[in-house]
Amino acid sequence: MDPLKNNKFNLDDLKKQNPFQVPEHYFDSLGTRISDRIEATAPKAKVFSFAHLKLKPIFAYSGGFVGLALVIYFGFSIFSNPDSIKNPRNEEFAGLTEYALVSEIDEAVLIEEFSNTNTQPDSIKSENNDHIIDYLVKEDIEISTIIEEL
Amino acid sequence: MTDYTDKELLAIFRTEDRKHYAFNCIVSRYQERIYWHIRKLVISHQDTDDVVQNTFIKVWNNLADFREASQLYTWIYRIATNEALTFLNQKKRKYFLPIVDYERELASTLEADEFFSGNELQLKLQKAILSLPEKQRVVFNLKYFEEMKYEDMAEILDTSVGALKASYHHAVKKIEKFIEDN
Repeated sequence: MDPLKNNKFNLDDLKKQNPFQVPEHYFDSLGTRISDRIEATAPKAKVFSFAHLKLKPIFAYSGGFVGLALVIYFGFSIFSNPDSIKNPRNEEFAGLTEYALVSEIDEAVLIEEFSNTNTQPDSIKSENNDHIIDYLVKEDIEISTIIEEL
Repeated sequence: MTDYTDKELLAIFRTEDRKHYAFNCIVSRYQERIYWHIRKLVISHQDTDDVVQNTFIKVWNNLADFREASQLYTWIYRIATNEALTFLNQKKRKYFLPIVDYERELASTLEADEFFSGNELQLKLQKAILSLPEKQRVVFNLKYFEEMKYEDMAEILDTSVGALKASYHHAVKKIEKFIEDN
């Protein structure tokens, strides 16, 4: 029956058919492709990485701001007062030089002082020698070596 | 592929070791019906392929939570319908096209579509269907092409049977008038 009769169309008179087509064997592989996509989108086991240690933006911006403020503060204080930069080693050295120039030290006094600190009383000296001789004799070392050592 | 009922497949899906098997059976059972349902809405084969895959990925992701308040097949149809309508709306937004223009664009692609084999009257019918509002298109396609029961359509579209009957009746009248006028 003609569905368009006298320019009047009746849907019931139209033969029902599916006018669309699919590529050949399309449905044969559809299930596999769906499974593959499910596999690809499945959540993977988490592996630790430093890249995951991301700060929240608010903390990152705050940290950056504090860092910038510190740089500006110290930069400004250094440029406004260059004398504040001191080398402690140089300062110490300068102090010692100044002291040496100003004070007058008697050389004779220094020598005497040095000799006093480096000399031992004779009693101590002989006591030490006795110990050494005892040790050398005990170890059966030749007399020439002993004399040489003394 | 299998003689299991939908209920049995759902029970199998809930056992961890046979989950994939049950899902593959469900895909195999419904893939063609879902494909044709989506194809009549989005028209292009490539777009339909994407939407079908998205539909079954959603089915996979949500099947564990499916409580069988409705039939499995109406639940899958519901997801498919939502996916297709969402896809169409995204396309319209992407190309900044008003609704009427986009449907006209789809109608014009039909003529050049290598996977469309209908005669002139079939082409006119498809253009007439594309002139309907989206929801009414869904109602018309489900009733006219798939001969689905109104009760099942009510589950899919969450609408009363009476409203669906009225919607279908109006859709037929609009289509007949469109073809007469064109």
